[in-house]
Amino acid sequence: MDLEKKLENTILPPSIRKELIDRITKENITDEEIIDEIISETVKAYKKTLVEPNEAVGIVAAQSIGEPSTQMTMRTFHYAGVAELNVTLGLPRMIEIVDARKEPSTPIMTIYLTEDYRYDRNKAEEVARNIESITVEDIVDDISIDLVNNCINVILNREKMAKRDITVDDVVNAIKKKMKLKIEVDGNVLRLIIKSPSLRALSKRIPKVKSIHLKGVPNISRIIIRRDDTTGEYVLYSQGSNLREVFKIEGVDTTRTTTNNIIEIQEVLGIEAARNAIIKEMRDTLNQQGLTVDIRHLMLVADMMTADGVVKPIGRHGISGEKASVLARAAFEETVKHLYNAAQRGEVDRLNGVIENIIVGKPVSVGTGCVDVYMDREYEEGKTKEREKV
Amino acid sequence: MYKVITISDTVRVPPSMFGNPLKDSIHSILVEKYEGILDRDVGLILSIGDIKEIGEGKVIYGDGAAYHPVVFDALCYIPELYEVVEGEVVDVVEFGIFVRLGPLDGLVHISQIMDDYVSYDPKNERMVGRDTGKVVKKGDIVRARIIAVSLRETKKRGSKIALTMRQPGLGKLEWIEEEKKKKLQVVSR
Amino acid sequence: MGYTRFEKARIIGARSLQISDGAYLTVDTEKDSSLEIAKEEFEREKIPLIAKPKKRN
Repeated sequence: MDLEKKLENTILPPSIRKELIDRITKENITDEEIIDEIISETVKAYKKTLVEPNEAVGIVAAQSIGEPSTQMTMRTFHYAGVAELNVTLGLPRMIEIVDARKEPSTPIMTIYLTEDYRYDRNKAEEVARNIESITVEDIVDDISIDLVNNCINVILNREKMAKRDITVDDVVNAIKKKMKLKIEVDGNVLRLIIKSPSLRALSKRIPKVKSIHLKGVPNISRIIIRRDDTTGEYVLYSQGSNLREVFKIEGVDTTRTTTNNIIEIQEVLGIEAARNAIIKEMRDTLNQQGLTVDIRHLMLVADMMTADGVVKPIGRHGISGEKASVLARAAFEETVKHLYNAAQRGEVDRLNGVIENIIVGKPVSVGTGCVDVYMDREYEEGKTKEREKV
Repeated sequence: MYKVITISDTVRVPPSMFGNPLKDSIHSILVEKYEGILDRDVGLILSIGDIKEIGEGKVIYGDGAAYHPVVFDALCYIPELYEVVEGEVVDVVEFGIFVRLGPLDGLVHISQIMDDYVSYDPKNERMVGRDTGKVVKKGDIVRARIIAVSLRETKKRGSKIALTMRQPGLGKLEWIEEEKKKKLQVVSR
Repeated sequence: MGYTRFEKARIIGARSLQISDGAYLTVDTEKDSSLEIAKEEFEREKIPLIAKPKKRN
């Protein structure tokens, strides 16, 4: 296409080229001159958005995220998020992301369904039922200690069991798998008999019995089904997260389903996915609070956190604690520890970074500090002067 | 001993000196900076010689001047221990005689002038040997050996060079000639 | 020209200091401020300074 050829020699990246072509064809602009002007204006605008070499992007990013974050603290810590699910939002969530916690305080999955399931409420419910984790506690009327028989009585609720499609045998087998005890079945009552029964031994086992997993995906305690009004599809939101197991469930769209647990994403989908997850989570958290931060700042943070191939937290145990320079590390936290270790190992500081140079009082290697200036020999010798006189 | 040494240093060429041939500017700056300097290791720097290399002039923060790395030759004099030197007697005092070694003066203590009992003759400003009758006075050329060097970098005056003339082949040049003749006579006989 | 704003600032700053310290000018000008003169020299690409990226240790 003619337009493509025109854009070939510009510095515009492919995505902007495509957008520009789409817009020009959509608006039906044919005048060569106008097109040329549009392109040159676009190039100008694009150049303006580029970061110059030696720009202190890290500091700008820190300020650009830090300032809105101070505004977040003044609002509530927890916020009712999607439907009835409670989600950590605001500053606590930002801290969680940046600290690369093993598990967020409120793990949540957004589960999208495949073409066959996504438009039918019943089918969506079916998938939800398969995912939702069911423990013994969910299908019993009562679990109590029988002091007469010296055992634990589990009173099953047939109705609940039928709804969840669970048989008595399922329950018995599940309990037997997890615990060493004999089980007597008596109608709706299961008697759990242990070897040396005492009141203490029995009451100790009750919570364990309650939490035995029967069906569904472990860790997922609740699922909420919502219809997305724009696309008309049903989407599942889960309390608790287990990406790997949910992916195995029939009807789950593995290309779109996601979790807010970044470490889990790293383990299941890889580091690039984790990087995107960090960006998305930070952006969503900020947007939810009505704050807009240029995505490039967030991308920088995500890049720093994932550049090593593993998600690292920002702080003592991550980026700041792993800096190459001794002085930079000592300036952050645990000053004496770092200096002692450096002395012991005979570490060398090349004074390449910003912090080190501030400490020793040299110009920092950022901005104008990255420019070395040399004299023009011709001028210094007065050769240019003479030429002008002649 | 006189030596030509090669020094590498960074020279600050101030903006007011721009426009002149760089070699001349740097030479005059180096003369100003180095000539007359007394260093413990290289001795007294007498003159700046050939400038071998002038590197690119770097402009540093907070200063408009150009800083050039340069490599140049310098002539220096360093009194070396046990070196035999010749020089003119420039002063005779109570405790010995001062000998000009070139850029610096050395002292021959009264006890180190000759193998004799030496006494100071203040009237004629000279040293006299009691038994030999040998005389050293101002303007005599003597040969001596350096036996101690103490260079003070701060003051030229503070530097001390001790000499001796009490060794075979040392002393006033006339005495050495006489010794030679005597030896020849002994040999021919 | 292909200078970043940091290079531009550094060059004009250094040159301005040189002019105020008595370096001879490369342009004919009526201006009497060293900074203004340095700016004019920069605009006319007459500044006798070369900017290079800093060498790393």
